[in-house]
Amino acid sequence: MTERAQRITKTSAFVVILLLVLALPWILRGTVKAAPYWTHVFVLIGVFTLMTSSMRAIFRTGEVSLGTAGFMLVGGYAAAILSIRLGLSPWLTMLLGGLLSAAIGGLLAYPFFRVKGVYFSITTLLLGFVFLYLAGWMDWLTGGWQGLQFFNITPELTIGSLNVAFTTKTNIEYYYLVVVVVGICLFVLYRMERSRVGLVWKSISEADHLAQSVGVNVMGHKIFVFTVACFFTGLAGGLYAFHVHALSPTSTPANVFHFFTSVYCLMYMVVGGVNSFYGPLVGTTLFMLLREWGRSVSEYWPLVMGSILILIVFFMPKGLVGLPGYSRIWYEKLRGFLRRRALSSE
Amino acid sequence: MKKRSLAILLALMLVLGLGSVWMVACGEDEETTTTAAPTTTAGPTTTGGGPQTTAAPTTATTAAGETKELVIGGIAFLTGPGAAGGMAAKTGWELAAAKINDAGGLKIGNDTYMVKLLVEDDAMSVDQASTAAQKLIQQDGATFIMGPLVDAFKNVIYPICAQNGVMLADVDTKNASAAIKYEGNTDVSPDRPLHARFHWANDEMMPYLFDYLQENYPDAKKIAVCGVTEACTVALYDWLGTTLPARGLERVGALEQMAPDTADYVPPVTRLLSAKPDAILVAVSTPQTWGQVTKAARDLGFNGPVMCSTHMGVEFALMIAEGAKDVFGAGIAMADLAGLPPAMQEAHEAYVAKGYPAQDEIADVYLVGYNGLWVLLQAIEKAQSVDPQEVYDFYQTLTNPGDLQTLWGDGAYVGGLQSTGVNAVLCEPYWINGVGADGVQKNLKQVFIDVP
Amino acid sequence: MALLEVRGLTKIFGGLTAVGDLSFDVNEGEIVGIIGPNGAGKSTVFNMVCGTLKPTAGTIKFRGKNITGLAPHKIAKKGIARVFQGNVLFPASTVLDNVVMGAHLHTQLDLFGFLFGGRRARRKEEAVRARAMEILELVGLADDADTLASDLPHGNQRHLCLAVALAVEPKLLLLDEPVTGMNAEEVSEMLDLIRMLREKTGLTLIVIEHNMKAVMGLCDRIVVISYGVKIAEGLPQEIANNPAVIEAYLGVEDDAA
Repeated sequence: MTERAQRITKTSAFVVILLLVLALPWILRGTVKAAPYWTHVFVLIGVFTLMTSSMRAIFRTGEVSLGTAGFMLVGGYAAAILSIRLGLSPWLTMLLGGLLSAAIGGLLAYPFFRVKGVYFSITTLLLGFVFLYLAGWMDWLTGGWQGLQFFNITPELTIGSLNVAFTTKTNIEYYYLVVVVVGICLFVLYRMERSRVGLVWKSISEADHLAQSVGVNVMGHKIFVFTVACFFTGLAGGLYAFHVHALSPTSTPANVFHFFTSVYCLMYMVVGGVNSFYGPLVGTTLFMLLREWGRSVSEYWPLVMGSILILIVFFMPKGLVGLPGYSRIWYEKLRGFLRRRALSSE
Repeated sequence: MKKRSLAILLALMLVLGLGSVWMVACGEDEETTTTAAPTTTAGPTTTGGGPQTTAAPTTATTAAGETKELVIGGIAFLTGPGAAGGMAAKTGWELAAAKINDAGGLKIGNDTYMVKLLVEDDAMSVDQASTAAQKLIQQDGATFIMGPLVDAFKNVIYPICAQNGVMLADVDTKNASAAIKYEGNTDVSPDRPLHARFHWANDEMMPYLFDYLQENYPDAKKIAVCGVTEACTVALYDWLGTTLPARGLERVGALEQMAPDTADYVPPVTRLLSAKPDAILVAVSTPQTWGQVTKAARDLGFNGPVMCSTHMGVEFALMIAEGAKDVFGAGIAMADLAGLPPAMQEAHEAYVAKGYPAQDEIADVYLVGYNGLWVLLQAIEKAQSVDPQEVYDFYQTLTNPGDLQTLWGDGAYVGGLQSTGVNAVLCEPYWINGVGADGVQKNLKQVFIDVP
Repeated sequence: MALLEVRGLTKIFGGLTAVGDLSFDVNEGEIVGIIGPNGAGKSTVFNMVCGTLKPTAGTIKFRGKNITGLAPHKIAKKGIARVFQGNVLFPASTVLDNVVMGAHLHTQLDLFGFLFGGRRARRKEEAVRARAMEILELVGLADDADTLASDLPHGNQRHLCLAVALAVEPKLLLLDEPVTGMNAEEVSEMLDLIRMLREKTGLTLIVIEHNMKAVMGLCDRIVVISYGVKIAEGLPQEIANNPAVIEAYLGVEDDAA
């Protein structure tokens, strides 16, 4: 009830989750046979969580960007190409990939934000396709439709005499790399949202004209958040690239750089809960686990996903993070229903 | 009230966290295998006991030995626009596995191994291909992996297989063998242990196509080359620059590359025809490319032969280029099954019995998949071992003609030492199919692809 | 020198002249009313003064500086705030947060401070909140500080709109229909509040309003526009007796009584 009790509950919840995240590879090792495989799945979950959270940061200003996959491609390709061609360290190129993605995002943000709502979504969607096809046609730079492969390039870390190579052997090293990088990015996004900047984003999404009239530089803030989100998305692309070690611009819907990735991120966000910072985290984790679990019925996956989305939108508009509240309401409703029935049967 | 909801949230998160671990554990139990898995199991499999009992019947002990499971994984694109091809390959694998299992499984030593085939979707996406391979190997305990069908993904899968001591069985066609040098070549090589090939590569097939061309179209000297946009296509084009003149043919015009999702084939084919070729070669083809190029060429008034070195039933090409003549390429024409070996007749009967049309345009793909797994299982049985390393080593010793059987005919053996540096390429008979001047689809010629 | 000088202000939408060659002054401390029939172009004038619309021609000078065509947030920074027609608020935020957002210009967007929640940043934030509470007390909403803005009753929402605009600490406040849709009691309450604000803070106001009684009672001076053109300007009594105004506006509007 008191603020202190709330804070304690929150902190302990955070600590428990953090411990779970940190201990996950060891928990997996102890409980499942295919620990490296599941660790690999969690690496992908980490990457997608960052992308979904970045998308949500843009959504805080009221706009839905469907260019996520495109900016991920820019970050991933830039990181890979710089490492392959110039031999730069993956650590540096991941950062540079993010920065390039942010630069492109920042430059395009102004014309893009001249339109709002569905028009903005469509322009960003098309941008994603542009990046995909550019990656396919600019074969002098990107390797063309064939894609890029760079198995010999892995991030390495040397602390004193200890040398850690982030290989795919057990995936554990890479898992921790993703946890640290994504953790830092999420922390930044979280602090932004909870600070004045976040309040400004919220004001823009709620009433942009009023926000302008009280002195908010709406366009400036939108460009800023878009740039930041593009940076994180590009970084996620770099993390993805050096984990999978192969990138391709194939225009099949399952390609990670295809428009469907953006749609999936949007779904993760909506299903998890758009109004909570934890929504994308919950949505991405659960959905991607569910997807992996239901591998044998992958043909039906879009159907399953769509059904879940519809159910959530109908019955839990606040998303999965609102489940405690909803379950209480449902419980009360059920109790009321049973009581009424008991009364009428008497 | 708020405190309580927070407590509920906390509890929920814990439940979700544990639930996900449980889900993971369950997903694993679902397909428990009794095969010696390459990975270690740290925890006892006591989580969720239900599904385990279903696996019990296969562990029945017989007097002669034990009946065990041999898990073989397959990776193909089962969803997306190319799904038809992936599903056909999957069907082929299933038929081959069923054939062996129906005959009582593989007899290895005293034990009998039933083949358990698990096919995963790579969805034509590298991370999905990688995920699929890791799942098959680590969770399902697959010790042999077939596929993926897309060349580029083989490089993604191979490191995972090698790290886990799993044999990668390349059962479908290869766009370019190790003899064609380019960055990202995916063929077997001495520095790729546990990687074996069970089918020919396009450049190994091409000489036989040229033989056929020279026999039947002696006036055709100038050949224009096109293919799907890929690094190997460029390398094949360069290679043809020296190969064709050596046989008295000529490569004319520039290479025309077509992206997999090209909609209009008239512009590239117009450029091809501007070099005034006598014949067109589709060096690397998607299911559509051959047909689309043929159609565009005929529409533009070109009447010379159009050939394709990617294996494909000519029915598929003619479905697009209706009524075209003088079209031939590597593949089996299902319309002309009569003269083919009994093993293939039998395979096709099983295929039709599953409800597929007898003259399926995509049948060629399933046959290649079927053949690949069948040969792999022969190698395993001959090696008298289910250990991937032992099978791989033994496969390399099957160098005498007739050591292995194929759907296309007898006399198959393992070769390739000279051209790839490792003796791990299947040399087998195959067919050239097509339509001649009479417009009838048939298997034109049997050839034997002998990889030195 | 007048606080706001509008000279030859013109806005043409396509072929339609919404505002044509409009000129008027607003002096410091004055309450000026802009009236006119529906579609006369009153809100368009506001939109141009606030920067939401760019004028086709003409100049707007505020405290002697040309502000024509500046972006809205820059105009806000110069000291012009606005209360929109209808209750335009941040509906999903609390009453207090609404005012805190209104005080945007008096906060600092620390690029790094927010990452670590520095003590200085927190103290500044607390100061902003305290100031917001003061403003809420002024408009009589202090007790509803934690209510969601959308949950407030209509009349109180209008007060909150005013509070948000006041948080900007403007020199000039534009009120677009501040009492429309209110009952008599609410109207007089609102008018008292506006007068009190002027006395307390020396605020200058421009008011667009349909409620004639309220306009006549509140304003020091009135500008009448019809079809985008100024047809009269003067003290409330003069306007009430001006035949051109009566013809154009008072005579035909029912709610003018």
